[in-house]
Amino acid sequence: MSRLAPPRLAEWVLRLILRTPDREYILGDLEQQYHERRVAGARARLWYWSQLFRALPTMARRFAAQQPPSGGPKLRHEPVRERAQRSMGWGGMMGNVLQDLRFALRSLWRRPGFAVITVTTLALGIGANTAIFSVVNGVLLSPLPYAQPEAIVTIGAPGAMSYPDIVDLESEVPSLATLVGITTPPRTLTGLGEPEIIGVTQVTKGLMATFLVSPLLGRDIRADEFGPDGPRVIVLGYSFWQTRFGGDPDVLGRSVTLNGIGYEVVGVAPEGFVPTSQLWTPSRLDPETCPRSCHTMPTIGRLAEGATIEGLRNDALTLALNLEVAYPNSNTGKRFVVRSLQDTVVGGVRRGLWLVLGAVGIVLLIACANVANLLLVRASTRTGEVAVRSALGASRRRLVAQVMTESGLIALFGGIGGLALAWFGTILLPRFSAGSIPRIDEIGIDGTVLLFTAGTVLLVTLIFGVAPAAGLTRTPLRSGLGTGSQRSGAGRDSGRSRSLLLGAEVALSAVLLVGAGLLLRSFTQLNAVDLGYETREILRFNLNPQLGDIDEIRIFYRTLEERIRAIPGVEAAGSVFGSPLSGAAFVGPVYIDGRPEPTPSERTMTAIRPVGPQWMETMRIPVLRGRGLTETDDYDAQPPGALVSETFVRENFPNEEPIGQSIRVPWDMGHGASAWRVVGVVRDIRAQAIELESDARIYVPHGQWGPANMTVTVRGVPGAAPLLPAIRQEVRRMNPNLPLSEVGTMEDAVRQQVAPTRFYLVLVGLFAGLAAVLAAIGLYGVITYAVSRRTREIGLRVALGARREGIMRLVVGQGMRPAIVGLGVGLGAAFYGGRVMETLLFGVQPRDPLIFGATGALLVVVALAATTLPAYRASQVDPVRALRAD
Amino acid sequence: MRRSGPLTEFEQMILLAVIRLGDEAYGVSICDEIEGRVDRTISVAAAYTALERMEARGFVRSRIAESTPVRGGRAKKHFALQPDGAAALRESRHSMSRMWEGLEGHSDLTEA
Repeated sequence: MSRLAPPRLAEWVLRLILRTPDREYILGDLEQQYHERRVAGARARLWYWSQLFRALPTMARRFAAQQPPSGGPKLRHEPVRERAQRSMGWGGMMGNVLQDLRFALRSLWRRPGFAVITVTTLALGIGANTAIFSVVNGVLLSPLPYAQPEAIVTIGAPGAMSYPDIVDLESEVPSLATLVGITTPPRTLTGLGEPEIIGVTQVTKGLMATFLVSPLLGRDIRADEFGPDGPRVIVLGYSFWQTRFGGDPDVLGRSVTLNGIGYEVVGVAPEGFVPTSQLWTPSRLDPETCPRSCHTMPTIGRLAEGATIEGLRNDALTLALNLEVAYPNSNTGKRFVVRSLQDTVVGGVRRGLWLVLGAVGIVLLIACANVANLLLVRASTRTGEVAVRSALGASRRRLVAQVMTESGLIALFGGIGGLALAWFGTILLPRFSAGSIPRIDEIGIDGTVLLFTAGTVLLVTLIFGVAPAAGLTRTPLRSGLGTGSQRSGAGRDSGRSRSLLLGAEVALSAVLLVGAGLLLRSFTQLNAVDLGYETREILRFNLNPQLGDIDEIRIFYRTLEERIRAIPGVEAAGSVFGSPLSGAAFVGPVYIDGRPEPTPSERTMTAIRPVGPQWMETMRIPVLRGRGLTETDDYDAQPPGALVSETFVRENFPNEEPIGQSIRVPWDMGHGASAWRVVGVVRDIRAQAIELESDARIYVPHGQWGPANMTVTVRGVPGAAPLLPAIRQEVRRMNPNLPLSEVGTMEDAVRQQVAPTRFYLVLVGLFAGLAAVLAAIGLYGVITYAVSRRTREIGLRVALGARREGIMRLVVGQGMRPAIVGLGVGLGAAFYGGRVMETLLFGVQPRDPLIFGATGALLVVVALAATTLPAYRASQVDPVRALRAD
Repeated sequence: MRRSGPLTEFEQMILLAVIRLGDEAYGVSICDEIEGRVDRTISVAAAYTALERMEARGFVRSRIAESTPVRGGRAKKHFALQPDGAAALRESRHSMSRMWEGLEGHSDLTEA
């Protein structure tokens, strides 16, 4: 018989390689055919062997398709291959890696639910981190787009500088190569298409040397062109040259008309050079009338070769001390503030952005804790499998490598999903930051961001992969054999790791929730601030009719206001210089008649607002005492009346009657005396910023003082149709060539003011919510799992007479203990670390008890909800079924 | 891994062999039938893989027959064509003949 049977070896190999459910049929077919051929005298043995070799490619393809015919890891073969590959050095290692990858892919594929939950959790965490990092990277980390940007500095005193101080700094401070004073007032451009109000940078000398660029055409502005008698020359920015002159190469010598005055083009800046605006002219500041005490110019400068900002700070301090001695009147107490240009541009958002990155990092940690928890649960259901693999020769190192590969794969998929989310983030974030973050348009996913994401994926793998891997190496592997799935792996150790992770999740969520709560409180406080004036239905716009005569100015504005008031839907209209929340205002010392002039150190700064007679009423700022300004004050009263604010009264007339006092300021607009008699006291208003207390201010009649450029303010009837078209028509009737600029509503201005707080609130709130949800899911998952592990024990307890409430208490207690400990730790951390948020807060203390209480209550409720459901299920366990299980 | 789309040439040959063999259609006989007609060697494993696939698509149906000593005591798996399989075959042939239409005698196709 044995001679008649098919070749044994071939059959054995075939049996090994035929990995299809049809194996037995195939072998049967082959044996039948073999016998038929043998009887027919054909070369049956050769034929049988040929069948083996023909089957190889088919089976190889089948194996490569990575589709195991039915569930269950192929434990039988792997250890054999492992042993072979271990001795094969580098190639063997690569083989191991590939094999691990394939195995991990398969095991993820087999549990799609687990894969989707872990990958999504990580994608959310990594995506949020990548998106926020792309903001931090684009705004804070990447250098400004100029040559040697670290050498570009700004110097202030502490804000704007005076011209003589600029000159002294540049000539006497060796660590400073150049320092340029700049102001960028709006000018009306005419003669080149549509009239337009455009920012024109007035410089003490050309800026290009500071930024190490050379003019594309012609030359830059020279230092000797500065001053009231300097030439009217202008340098064009590249895009202005392109749009207004069509890139004409013969533009030098042509003229640009600003405020009706012609400027000769002497140069064109290279493309991409846009540090301030698109037009540069020499400043016509007169150092005689604007001396050392006259601070009007911000500055941009450049460090000398080899100098450092620190060195420059020391040099500037030395100079400031010398100037203090030489010019005590103007320079007493004056110190120069040296910052890098980057710092000046983005310094205001630095802390906020790092905090948001920290918040989103916490979310990632919580996501990692959740995934680690799920992996721990999964690892404990696999102790049997691991024990078999180990018994068949897999080393611990190989087992750990296997588990880490799976973790790495999950993290990798999470990272890819995260990148996609982050890409959306980089599109959405600039939109809703509402101009509160400088340079936000420069963000994007670049090499640095990709590197950050890759690093995050690696870090995440280590964080959540280590726990299950460590559990693996601790488990006595043999104990896994011979136990069913029900009781294995619910060891004390993995239970403790899970409790620890849970506590950490709750603690981190508590920190984030406190942060979000504080920001929410700040936001509501900001919105609840009584600004002291009307913000609803108020429309405003700037005009600069370029009139020189005060009577013309007055008639222009009063006529325009009159006509606007006649538009249906308009309730009131008035004009002001220095509209609230617009950044503009005259600020200076106010002298009171009959009192000695204050010394420089005693001077207090007061905001002076020229207003039309109807402006107070338009803004609904109430007169508290005395009377408001009248047409007569605006026209010819001598001295004209002025209004003072409550704070001004408090600071200057604490025990005196303010009404009737004479006040004056030491400068004028060239139209008449700057002296007034106080006729009324008005309410304080918050004009600079919502969060800033009102400072002292006075309101003087515009019609006798100027200036020509004003903000016209219109209050509409609630629900009136859009008024702007009709208003524009009235302006055009007054002067067809007069553009409106900075058109907007007061509500827009308020929104702009609260935008940064809103930005941080939305982000931190989003992340805190995500953190709390993740923590709740984690808690729910772990308790559900623990209950399923203890079904037998619970069944036994019930059988022995335990009451359902007792079971529920037991389970809830098991979940609540780590949650409460975590909550305590988290609130403690927030209590001691909350100071870092102080600058982002308004109207709330970092240790606000209400926020802490609410956070604690919220998390307790969330934890209770997450544990009660599994606890209820545990209490419904049928003891008979539970004991029969397993 | 369930494939869809038109039949491959290999699948068509297997289905046609199944029809030709009638009651005697099983792994090795199918391979022999094809080999005898088109001078091509076919592995039984490949045939079974294709048949498994086509059974999943409802083109063939299998039936387990008795085990015999000549088969080493193993059962035999018979295959029979199903209406879907016949329809797929007709569709494949139809597509090919449409592509061939009017090309008989085309200069690129005439044998040297």
